[in-house]
Amino acid sequence: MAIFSVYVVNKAGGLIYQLDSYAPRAEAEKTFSYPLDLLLKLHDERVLVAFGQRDGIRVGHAVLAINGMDVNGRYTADGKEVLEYLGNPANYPVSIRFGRPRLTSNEKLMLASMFHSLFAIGSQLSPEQGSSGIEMLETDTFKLHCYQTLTGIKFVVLADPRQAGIDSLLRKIYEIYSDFALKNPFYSLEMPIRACRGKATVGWCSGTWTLFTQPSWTLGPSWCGCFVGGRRQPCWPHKSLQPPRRLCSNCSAWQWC
Amino acid sequence: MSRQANRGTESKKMSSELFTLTYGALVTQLCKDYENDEDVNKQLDKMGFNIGVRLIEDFLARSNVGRCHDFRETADVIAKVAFKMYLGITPSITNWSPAGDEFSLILENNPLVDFVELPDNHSSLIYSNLLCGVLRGALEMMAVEAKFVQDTLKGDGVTEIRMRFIRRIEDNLPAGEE
Repeated sequence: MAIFSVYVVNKAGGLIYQLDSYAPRAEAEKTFSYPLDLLLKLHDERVLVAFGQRDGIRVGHAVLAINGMDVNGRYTADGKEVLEYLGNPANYPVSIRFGRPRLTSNEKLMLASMFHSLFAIGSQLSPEQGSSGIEMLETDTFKLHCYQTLTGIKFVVLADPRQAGIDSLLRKIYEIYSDFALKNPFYSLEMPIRACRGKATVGWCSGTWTLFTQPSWTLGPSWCGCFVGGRRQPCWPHKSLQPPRRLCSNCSAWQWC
Repeated sequence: MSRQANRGTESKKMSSELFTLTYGALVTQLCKDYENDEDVNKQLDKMGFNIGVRLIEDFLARSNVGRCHDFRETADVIAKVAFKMYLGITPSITNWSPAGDEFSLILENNPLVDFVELPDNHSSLIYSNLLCGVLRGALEMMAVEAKFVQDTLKGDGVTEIRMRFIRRIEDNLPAGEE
């Protein structure tokens, strides 16, 4: 999926909405024997690789699972400390899965406020009078696009560097925000937006960004009308148990998730 | 209405009669609840304010207007774009004060008051006070005052809303403010 995540930040810098789309993460699972030739350290309640990068396991990757069972921060699924477990030769050979750790929601909140402050600094540092804040941040693996509305809400989208049309996507997300969040009288402004029953997502269909509404979860025949990414795909029950298909409101066809 | 060609949801058309009836039911219920015209006026203004703070986002999302550089531009945008988009009418702007911080919006026909007649016991009720609240709420980044000066319901020929700019509220967005 070309869009990695969407963040909506309110006027005060608080994160009010966040969406991560399913993106394959670089993970590597290997079997090790004692002694472990990687140096692991504990950081921020996670066990990270500090030294010993090889074979797809990079420095900064976290221990995601041991022997197929997901770890819980610094503890294994059984409640033992990971570092202790891996220090005991009796537990070997052991299969460990490493990968980039996912951000927790607290970290996302913190990063959103940090971005809000950097945005303000950016607009003040600019040598041009009256310049806007950060509109795009480019790295070699993603591009961050930001659109600040005249009312101070920021819509931030992280996408593939080659993905085009993000500006219209940001405007579209603004429209959707003004519909789904603001038209709901029970939604308080500047507060986090709860995912509602009528959850809508935006995707690419027929050359433009369109709103997809999710139907209720039904098992059905798997075929696809619209397609994302330029490829027609079969629909399988999604492993996150979300509905596998969405109805495209642009052409009223089922589209794969 | 300014919409893009392939808008996902269909544009909703609603009869203006239903809108007038709904607004009328709202005002009459408020009158029954509060029994005092001044309180009803205040409530309508508060409700309008809550509508305004949400409406402004919808307006900015759909109309793509840029930042206004002075109060005259603001007045133009309100009359020619906003009123047209939401109520289908285009009020005219007159009576600028010499300092350029007050103007009047003249509405020839007000869709909220179709077929409405104010009875004698509600002579100080400002029926369309919701509109003043909406204007105040939409412009909440600057403190403005909006009040009805003339009202067709009270016998005047046109409805006139006088808007006055008080000050800009400085704790707003950081990017590019002059």
